[in-house]
Amino acid sequence: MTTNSPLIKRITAMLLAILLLLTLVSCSNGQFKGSSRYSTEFFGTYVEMICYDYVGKNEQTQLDLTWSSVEAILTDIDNSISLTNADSDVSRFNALEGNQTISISNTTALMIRIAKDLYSKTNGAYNPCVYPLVDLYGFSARFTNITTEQEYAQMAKLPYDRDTLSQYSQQLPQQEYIDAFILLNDFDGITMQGNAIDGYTLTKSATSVQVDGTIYYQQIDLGGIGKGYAVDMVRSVMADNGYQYGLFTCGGSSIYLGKYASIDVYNGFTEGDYNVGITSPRYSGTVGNNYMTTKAMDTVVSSSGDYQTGHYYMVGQSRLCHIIDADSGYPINYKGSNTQSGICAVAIFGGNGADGDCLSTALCVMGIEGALEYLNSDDNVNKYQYIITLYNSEQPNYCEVVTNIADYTISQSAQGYYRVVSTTVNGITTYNGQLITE
Amino acid sequence: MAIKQVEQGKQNSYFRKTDLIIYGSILVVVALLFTIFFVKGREQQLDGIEIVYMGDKNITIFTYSFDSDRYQIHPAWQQLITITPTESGYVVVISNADQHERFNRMVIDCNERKVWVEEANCSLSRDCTRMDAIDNAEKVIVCVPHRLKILPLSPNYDNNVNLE
Repeated sequence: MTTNSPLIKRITAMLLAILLLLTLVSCSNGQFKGSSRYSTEFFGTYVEMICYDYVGKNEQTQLDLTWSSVEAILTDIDNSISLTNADSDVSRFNALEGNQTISISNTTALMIRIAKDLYSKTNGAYNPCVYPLVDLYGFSARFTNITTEQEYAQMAKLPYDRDTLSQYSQQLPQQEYIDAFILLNDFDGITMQGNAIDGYTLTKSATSVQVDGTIYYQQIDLGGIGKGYAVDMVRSVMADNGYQYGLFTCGGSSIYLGKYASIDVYNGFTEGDYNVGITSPRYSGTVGNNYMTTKAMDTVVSSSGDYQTGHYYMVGQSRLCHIIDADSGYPINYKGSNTQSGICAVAIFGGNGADGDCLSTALCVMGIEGALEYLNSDDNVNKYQYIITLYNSEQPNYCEVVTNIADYTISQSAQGYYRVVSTTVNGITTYNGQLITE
Repeated sequence: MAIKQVEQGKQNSYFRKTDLIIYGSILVVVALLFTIFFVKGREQQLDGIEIVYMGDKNITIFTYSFDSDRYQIHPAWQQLITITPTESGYVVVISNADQHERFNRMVIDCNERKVWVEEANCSLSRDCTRMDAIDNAEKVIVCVPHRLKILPLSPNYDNNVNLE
């Protein structure tokens, strides 16, 4: 006993010291504070960043600096590809005649390179050159703030514009314009030269078409890539500033999801998935419009479809949307008057935002067989998780959902959709369900 | 001999009296720190408020944080929300999105960390002006006719994201 006594004292003293140290550390360091939210407008849509932070790291200053970086990124993209900004690179390019060249920013050049890559990989299903057709159907930037006949009457017109706004939902554009503008769809004809140090130039092809005495040249729209590109850049900024918890959403169709974090006095700090609600492509009820939800974190989510508000109108029973098939010259799923079938909504999880933004649009154009072939090709298998929704106007209260997301992470929503049957083959599940179209 | 035995006994015991005092003091400090931290964590202090418009979707149209003295307005509501600084904080007037002549006038008292609706033309009884001021993280003011909900700014936004 005499020999053990000092040893026991030492051990006791050490344990108490460690306990004190742990207490001090837990009280003074890493106290989770909560989230901060920043928002602005970008590309005519609502942009929001949410960051979760800790007390004691001068968080507000750092958050403000992070948001300043984000705003700088959004401004840079706007100056590069905005179609409402007449001085942007893309607006200046669209104003050129054939064979003319302009200098472009490195940001624009990067997006052109990504667009060309996706144009090639999707065999033209993603095609920025459909812009003249997009304009023909009334979905271009010129129509952004036009909601009344009076506003439309005051808008500067082009030869193919309708006499009144209501005519857009009464008849298709003149076929001669559709046929002509299809000829402007060769994105390979637009060439880019230069490098990041000396600068880049973009040259329009010599291709032109003439309709009713007016000559038209190629025009492009990189809007299908801009939001996703912004998401990639902001994701990088958030990571550089140490915000692994939080999210950045660009209009709800392109989202970076970090980790969700929460704290309460009972459970303490916890982290986990976000619940991602998938908007029902046909439900128009006033309370809730998700028809299924899934879980995700540390990923990028992109979506496209024929349902997005302000990006479609009806001609008879056919829905004409802003996603145009460059080969046919018609909006996706248009199968003649009063008939519509095909992919009406796509959500992609994974990869990067720019690719996802292009790809979600391209998959809509490909149709379900082409989309599944692409997603299961050697280059892409297991790269993305996807939820593809199919619609057929002959069965308006019915839809089919094809996904490779594990069944247990998907839950159906009370509104919009009721699953009735599901089958899984080779990891791809098909849900057949009733689509509520209130 | 007896003194020697006592001294021998002291040497053989596990702790001296002074040891026990020191160890006891450490335990008291640990207990105090733990209690302070735990109790502080349970305080439902008001960090700020957010106003949610319960229209087609529940959208947050306005947020204010006491700590940063910073407010944000949803872009679509920039024209509908006016903010006037006062000596103790702000007066926020929210016009209704559907009928602009309707309004709620909300007071933010930064000194008292308190928020209440001072005036509104929502109904005859103007219930929202009679509801308790929000001064902790457990109170809510609701204006049903104007579809507005004023609630404490949550330290954690929920984990629901809508893909559109």
